[in-house]
Amino acid sequence: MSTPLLEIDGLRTVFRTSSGDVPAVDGVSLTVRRGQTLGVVGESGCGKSVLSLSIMRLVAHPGRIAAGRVLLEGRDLAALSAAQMRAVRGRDIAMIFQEPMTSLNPVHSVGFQITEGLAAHEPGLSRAELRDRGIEALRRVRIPSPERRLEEYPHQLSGGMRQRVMIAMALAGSPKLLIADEPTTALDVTVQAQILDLLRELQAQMGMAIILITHDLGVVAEMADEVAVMYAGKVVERTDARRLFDDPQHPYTLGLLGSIPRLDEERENLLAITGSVPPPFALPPGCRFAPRCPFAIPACDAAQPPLLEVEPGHGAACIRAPIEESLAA
Amino acid sequence: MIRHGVQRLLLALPVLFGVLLIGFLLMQVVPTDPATVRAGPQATAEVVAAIRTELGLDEPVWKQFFLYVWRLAQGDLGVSIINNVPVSQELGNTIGPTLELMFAALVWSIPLGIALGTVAAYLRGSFVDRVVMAISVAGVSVPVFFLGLLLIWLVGFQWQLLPFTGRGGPLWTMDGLLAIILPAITLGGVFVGPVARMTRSAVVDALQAEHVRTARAKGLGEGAVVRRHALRNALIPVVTLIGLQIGFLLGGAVVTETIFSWPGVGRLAVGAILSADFPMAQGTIIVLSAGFIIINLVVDLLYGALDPRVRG
Ligand SMILES: Nc1ncnc2c1ncn2[C@@H]1O[C@H](COP(=O)(O)OP(=O)(O)OP(=O)(O)O)[C@@H](O)[C@H]1O
Ligand SMILES: [Mg+2]
Repeated sequence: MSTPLLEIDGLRTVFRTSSGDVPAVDGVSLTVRRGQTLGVVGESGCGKSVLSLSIMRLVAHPGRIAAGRVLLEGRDLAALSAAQMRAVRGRDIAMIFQEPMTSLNPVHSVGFQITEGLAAHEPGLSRAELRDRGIEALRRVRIPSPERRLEEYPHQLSGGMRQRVMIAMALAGSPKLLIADEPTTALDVTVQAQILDLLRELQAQMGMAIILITHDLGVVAEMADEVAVMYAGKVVERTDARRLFDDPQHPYTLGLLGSIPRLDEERENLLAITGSVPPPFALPPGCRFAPRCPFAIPACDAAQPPLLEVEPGHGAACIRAPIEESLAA
Repeated sequence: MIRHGVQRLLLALPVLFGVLLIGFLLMQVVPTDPATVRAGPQATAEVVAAIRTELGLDEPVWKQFFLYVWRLAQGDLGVSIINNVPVSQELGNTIGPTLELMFAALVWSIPLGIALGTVAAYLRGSFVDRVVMAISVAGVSVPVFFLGLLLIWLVGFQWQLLPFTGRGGPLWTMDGLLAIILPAITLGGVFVGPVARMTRSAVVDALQAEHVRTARAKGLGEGAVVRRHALRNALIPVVTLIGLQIGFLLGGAVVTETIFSWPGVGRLAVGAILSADFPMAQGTIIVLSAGFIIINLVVDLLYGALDPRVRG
């Protein structure tokens, strides 16, 4: 029971380019406990999707996992054969994606797409059993008249319905971990809230853990138990959700939250992050955030700061953390 | 769907008229005089002149054409001006062998082309991909007649393995089967390359789609991923492109039939054109264009069956 569900240790995923290997995920270590939700936040391009694909061993050429380990219940996924890894996908770890329109195949019916994964994992199921499981999966995500929906095609569904179908498909195999890569970004606000509610309910019902990838801190606040903040391929801050909002430590997190720390009990100075994320092929030698950091000192450019605990259970990759003390000094 | 089909057929009528007109005009350019052919080498000028009058060849060209179309509208394809055999009868005798040849050519070349293209797409950039593409480029550049003559010379003549003149009988007999092998390889052979290339590019595109990633995330094996989530989607453009290539294939059938003395519509067409037998030539043109139109109609229907978004 003490082994966490998923343990990522020093994961590094690189893409081969004409100018050598560039890292998209660079030394990420994370832990996901059973039944919990880990929020992963960060700006576009910081490596969130590559991280989730790396967990699934689905990084496509020219990308590859160059270092690190991913342990599922203590089992090193990198050591699995292709067939063993396929058995993990969809059954132990399932995934939903940002764009429900393009993530579903337009030429197959909803029912076919929900049940084909089940059929692959449990070859013994009869057609009738598969159909029942498909109906059950659709009912679980509150799709009305599931018998009829089973026959429909993705283009006949609304965006929210499609994302429900994606969720039904992912949960059909009762996975222990659901990776949701920006599941609501493409949806409008009311539908977003419905989908998040649904995910929370299903989590309470089925007990799976969730890695929720988003760039929306509001979503994190609502859903996550633990949070990892990513910047340019690295985790820069990691703690539980409450502390992230109450006591952020990394200047980048502060920027995301849009406020500077309470030096004099006033919180009005909004801190906007200027500049943009460095591309993975032009990373600064020291702290990757230093060029945009209002608190940067010359030492920041010297070496990459490791993720160190500021207090138990709260890590920040910043030599100036805790910031309050650094600034007061 | 049926209404759509009928619409397409009606739209094809003006096309058919245009094809007939062009065919008719081209026949005027053929330097042969059908009356001379019919009268035979010993005939006197008077006899030839009499035959010309009898066949209506003295009438102005436009009048001949409209007379022909008028009869055609009543279902009368006319008779050969060379040997008086009804055109419909000759067509009836030759359509079967042509369909047989087309079928024998397509039944192996389309699946092979699709399989090669899919493998090349899946292994794109690899040695296998380059070999498949090299073969298909070579296949595209080889003219039908060249491939046919090569096969005749090598397989038929040098090695004496297979017959190469005429149809050996119905397909379900051994003779029939053996006789169709070389023509079918010739006609289908030039089709494999284009099909492989179209399939490759469509499957390469389909493999980039996000739903392919979804399929892998479900835990499907690579075979299922490629077949159900890449090739299945790629078939939509591939079928359309194959439909567009069919005209080219009909042209190939004419050449193949002529080379192998295959008793089909294509060979009949060539013979009729060379002897300026215009009712016969026009009849074959009607059949070939109708074939083209029907194949495109089938492609259209197939398209609807393959793509749920157009089924509506
Ligand atoms: N196929 C690829 N080839 C080269 N580089 C890639 C490739 N895919 C991703 N990358 C690099 O990996 C980095 C991380 O990309 P990723 O898609 O994980 O970002 P993200 O955090 O998910 O962004 P978003 O919020 O836009 O989804 C990008 O900066 C990109 O340069
Ligand atoms: Mg992403």
